[in-house]
Amino acid sequence: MTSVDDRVGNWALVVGHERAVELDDSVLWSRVRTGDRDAFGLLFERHARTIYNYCFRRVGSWDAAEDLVSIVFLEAWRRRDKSLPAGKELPWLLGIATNVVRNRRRAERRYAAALRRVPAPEPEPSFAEDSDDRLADEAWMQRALQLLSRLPRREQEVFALCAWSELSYEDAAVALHIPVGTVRSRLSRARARLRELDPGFGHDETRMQISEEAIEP
Amino acid sequence: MRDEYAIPPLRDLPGDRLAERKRHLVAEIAQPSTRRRIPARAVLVLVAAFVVVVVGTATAFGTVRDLLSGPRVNSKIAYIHKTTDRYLDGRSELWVMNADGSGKRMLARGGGPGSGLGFGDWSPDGRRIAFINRYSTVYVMNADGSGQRRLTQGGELSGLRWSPDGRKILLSCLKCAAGPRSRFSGWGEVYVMYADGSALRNLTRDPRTEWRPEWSPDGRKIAFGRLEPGERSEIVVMNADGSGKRTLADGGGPVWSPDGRKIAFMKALPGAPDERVSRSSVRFHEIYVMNADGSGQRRLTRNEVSDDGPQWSPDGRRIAFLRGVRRGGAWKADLYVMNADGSEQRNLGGRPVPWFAYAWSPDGRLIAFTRGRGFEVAVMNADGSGLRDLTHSRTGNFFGAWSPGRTGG
Repeated sequence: MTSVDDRVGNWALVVGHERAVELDDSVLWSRVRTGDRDAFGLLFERHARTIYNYCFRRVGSWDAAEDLVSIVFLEAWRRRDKSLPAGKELPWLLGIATNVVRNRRRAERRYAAALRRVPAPEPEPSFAEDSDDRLADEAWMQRALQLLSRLPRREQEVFALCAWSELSYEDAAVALHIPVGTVRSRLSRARARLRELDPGFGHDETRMQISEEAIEP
Repeated sequence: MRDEYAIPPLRDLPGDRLAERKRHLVAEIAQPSTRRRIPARAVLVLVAAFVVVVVGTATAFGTVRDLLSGPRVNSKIAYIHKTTDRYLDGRSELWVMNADGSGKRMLARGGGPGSGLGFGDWSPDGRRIAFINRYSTVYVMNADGSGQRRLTQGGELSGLRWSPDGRKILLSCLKCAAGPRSRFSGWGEVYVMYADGSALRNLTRDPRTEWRPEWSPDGRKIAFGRLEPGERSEIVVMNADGSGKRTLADGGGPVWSPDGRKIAFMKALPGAPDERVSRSSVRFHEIYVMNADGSGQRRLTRNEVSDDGPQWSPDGRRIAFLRGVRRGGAWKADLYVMNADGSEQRNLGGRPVPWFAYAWSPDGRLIAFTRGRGFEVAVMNADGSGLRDLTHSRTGNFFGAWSPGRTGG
C-alpha cells in the first residue's frame, strides 16, 4: 500500500530558476505563512494525492474527492497563519480534510463559488483508461463505508486515519487535536465494534487476498 | 495493519486534473479575499433510489409554456433535492432557486424515507405550486411554501399539469387501483379535478394505458399517449371534458407548440438488429411534428440513435431534444436544438441525464436540465454556451420546472 514516502512526502524536487532546490514541508509552510503562493502550490502538488485518496476513503466517490481536495487546500490557505510543528504539515492537512468531510455540505457551500470556477474535466472522463476500476473502487468503498458508518463519528475518523491511511498515532493525534492515548483507545474500540458488526472483519481470507492483490502497485 | 478491512488502492487524480486543480487553486488564492461567509444553512434531509425514478417520471412531462401577457416576476427554477446520496435512505425536498443558482430555498419536505416526492407544476400565474408526495398525494401550496394543503390521495401518480386558466389540474395516474377506498381506478388513466381538489374525474376509463397528458395552450384540448398491447403507442387528442377522443398518429410524448397549432412527438422505429444489445431489433426514437388535427406529419430527425423528448422554444421557432447514444452499455445524451422544420440541428452538449425533465426558460434564453453522475441542476444558454451547474450538493438535485415569467438575473 502506501509507502512512508508517499504518505509523509517530506521531500520534493523544486526546479527553480537555475538549479534544483529541495525544500521540506516545514520550509514550505513557513513560506506559505508569509503569503507565498508558489510555496503553497508546491505543497499542493506534494500532498494532493494523499488528500485525494483520504477524501475518497471518507466519501466513496472519486469525483467528490476531487472537489474536496480543492476545498481542503482552500481551507488550509485560509488558515495559513497557523504555526505548525515541523513535519506535521500533512497530518494537519488531513485534519482539515477530516473537518471538511465532517461538515461537508457547509464546506461545499462555502466554496461553491470557487468550485464553480474549476476548469471542467475532459468531456468524457468516463472513457478514461481506468474508469471501470474507478467505478469498481466506488462500489467497493461504499460497502466498506456502510459498515464504518455504524460506528460513532469519532471512531470512524480515527479508524479512517490510522487504519485506512496508515497514519501514526502521533500524527492522528495532531490531525484530530486529541491526545495520543485517546487515539489509541478510540481505535481499539472501533476495531472491537467492527469485529462485532462484521464477524469476518480482519479474518476474512478472501478479503485479505483481495486486499493484498489490490495493494500491489 | 494489512489485515484491516480492505479498501481500494491509492489512485492519482485522473488525467491532468492535478495540474488543473493546482492552476485553479493558485488562481483562487491570488484573489484578494478567499474568506467567504457561510450562506444560510439549509435544512437537509434524506431519500431513496426509486424516488429518483418516480421523480423522473413525475417531472418528465414537457414544461413548455406560453408567455402570458401582464406583469411578470422573475422566473425561478423548482427542483427536487435529495439530501443524501445513499439509496433507500431519507427524504427528498422541493426547493426553488433563481436562474443563477442564488436564493435557494426549501419549500416542502417529502414524507419520509422513500417519500416519492415529485415536482408537479406551477400554477399559470406562478403564485402556487402543486406537487406529489408519497407517489400518491397531491398537495398545493403558495409559491413561498406557505399554506400547504392536501388535495387528493390515492393511486400511483406520475405527474400533474395545471390547466392554462389555472382552474383545473390534470393528473396522470400510472397504477390507479390502489385499494377499495381509493377514488382512483384503472391502469394508466388521465384524471382531472378542480384546483381545490374537488370533482375528481377519470377522463379515459380505458383498459389501455394513457400517459403524459398535456393541455393545449388554450386549455380546450388534451393530448396524451396511449399504449396499446404489444408496445404500440399512439397519440390521442380529446376535449377537456374527455369527449371526442381521436387518434392522430402512432407515437408518444406529444407536446403542443406554443401557438397550439402543431404537436411535436416521438415515435419508436425498429432499427437494425444489434447482437451486442439484444437479440431482437433495437428500437430507437425519432422526432416528428404534425398539425394539431393530425395532418401533415413530418419526420424531423433521421438516424439510428435515439432522439427523444422534444420541447418547443417559447417562440415556437425551435425545438430542443435529447439525442442519446448507447456506448459501452451506458447512455450518453446531448442536448440538441433544431428549427421547427428540422433544419439546422445543432449539438449543444451538456450531457443531460436523459430520463429527467429539461425545459427552456420562459423567455427562451436558457435551457435547464439535470446533468452528471452526481445529478445536479444545470443551465446553459440556448446557443449552448455558458454551461453551469446551479447546485453542488452531489446528493442529487433534479430539475423540475421554470416558474412562469421572465428569467431572473
